[in-house]
Amino acid sequence: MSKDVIRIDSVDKVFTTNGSKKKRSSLQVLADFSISVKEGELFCLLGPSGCGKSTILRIIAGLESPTTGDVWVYGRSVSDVHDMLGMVFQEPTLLPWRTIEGNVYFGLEERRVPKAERKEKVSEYLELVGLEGFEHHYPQQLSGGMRQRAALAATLANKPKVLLLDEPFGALDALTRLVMQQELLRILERAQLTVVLVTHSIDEAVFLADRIAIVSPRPGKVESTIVVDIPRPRDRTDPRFAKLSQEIFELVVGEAGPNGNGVGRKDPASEKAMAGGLALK
Amino acid sequence: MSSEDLRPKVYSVFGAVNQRVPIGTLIILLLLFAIWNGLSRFGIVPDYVLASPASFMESLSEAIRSGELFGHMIASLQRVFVGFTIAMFVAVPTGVLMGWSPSVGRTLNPIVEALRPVSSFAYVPIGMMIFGLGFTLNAFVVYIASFFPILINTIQGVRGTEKRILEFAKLQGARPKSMLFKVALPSALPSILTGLRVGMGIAWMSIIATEMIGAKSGLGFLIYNSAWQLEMGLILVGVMAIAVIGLALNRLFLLIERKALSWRDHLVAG
Repeated sequence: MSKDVIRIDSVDKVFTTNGSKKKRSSLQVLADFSISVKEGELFCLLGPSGCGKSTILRIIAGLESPTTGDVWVYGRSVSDVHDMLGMVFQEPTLLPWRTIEGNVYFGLEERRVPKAERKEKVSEYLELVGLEGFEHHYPQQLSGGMRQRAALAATLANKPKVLLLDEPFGALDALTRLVMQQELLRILERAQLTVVLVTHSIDEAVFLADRIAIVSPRPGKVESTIVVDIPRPRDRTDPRFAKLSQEIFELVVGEAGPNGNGVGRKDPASEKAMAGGLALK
Repeated sequence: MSSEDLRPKVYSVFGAVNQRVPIGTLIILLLLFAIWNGLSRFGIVPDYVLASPASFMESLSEAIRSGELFGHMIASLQRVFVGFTIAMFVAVPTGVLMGWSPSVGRTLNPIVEALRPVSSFAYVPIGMMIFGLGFTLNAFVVYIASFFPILINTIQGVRGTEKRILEFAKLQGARPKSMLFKVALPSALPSILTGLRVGMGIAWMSIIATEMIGAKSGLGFLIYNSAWQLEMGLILVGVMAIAVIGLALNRLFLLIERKALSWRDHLVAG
């Protein structure tokens, strides 16, 4: 069918702490991690905190390099940050001394987009994310959700082919989160993009993704990949939605084993926490 | 999302600039004045040790009328201005370089750390040999005194640029030069301005001391010379002028910080 845009081939990542040789300790975050993402797909990495899913995103972005293994984006081996990628962090990140407009301008300036085009693009993308009227506000004056929209506008204005989202709604309250999920789908409809989304919410994954890779806790490894074939717009009250969520939930709990990290523990409190997303209908 | 929740409750981080003097402070000042007045009125402290309010006022009006006070003020301010400005133009770029390039930082840091604890007055004898007494010597001491606070704050500011802001800029396609000039420098600006304000404070302190040894004018010279002349009122006039100018300089720098950093002036409450 469509070609692979991102290919990750048995990537290992080991972090080594600083210090004298004797005291140095290492932590394996990713082990034999492999995925491939197709063009135009919304691919979701789902796993508990600390399973290395953010690290894999940072590796794709070129912010970290793998200890072993290879990463290709559009057939090119990733060694540094490059133009085809855009990334939005969990914490809404902008240049605080620039206005919202100035932040969208930044990438355009750096990519030497002609001045005449910049103004047009800025208003185009601010409108796309629903921030018209806030051009001259500073990031500190906006709420977390709006800052995240602004970060998304700044990222999209650079016309990336691949969008990496690292728990982009993780720092937002539950209601804003639901709104932003819908907004994201609306925005993506207009921008032709391949998206890799990292989340620890089953609900978010099932609502947004075309495919979901379930990542086991440390060292992170893809345990299984699930195709979400519920047609859009997806309805959380759809029985298929609940059924798939339940299946994934069992997979996640099952995979981790009794000594696993986070969700893996069969303690009722954490199961409830994982299922929390499902309750939001 | 509606725009209702977006009206931020705005307040100033720089409240200190606009704040009125608290009533308690005024009461304490009045009390101190009363004690001062009492001490001299009842002859507890003789006039040749501490001038009475009356002789202070007399000296003050005389110093203003003759233009003597104004002349000394200008002399001190000129020296501070020259020494401080040179320090700023040397320390800020050096600090930026040291903060931005780890190898430059590592190389220069031991030297900076070794020189930093040396009081600027330790350079007076050397300065006297090089420059002789006068304007250059005084400006030189001011330069040394204000150099380190500016340098250290600049280094820390540049080095303290948040990692995620650097990554954001990089992902936005920032070129290496822009990473420094459009990201690290604006991010370091609050710290640099703090360094300048602290540096100015120290410069103002040190000029008074050097003028006692190495000058024939300036407020430091004024109070030192007045002691020899047993002009106790004039000493207090000098001290008051030093305090007022020090306060004004600090305010001026706070004002500059406020203007330059208006982007962080608005915080969203809650």
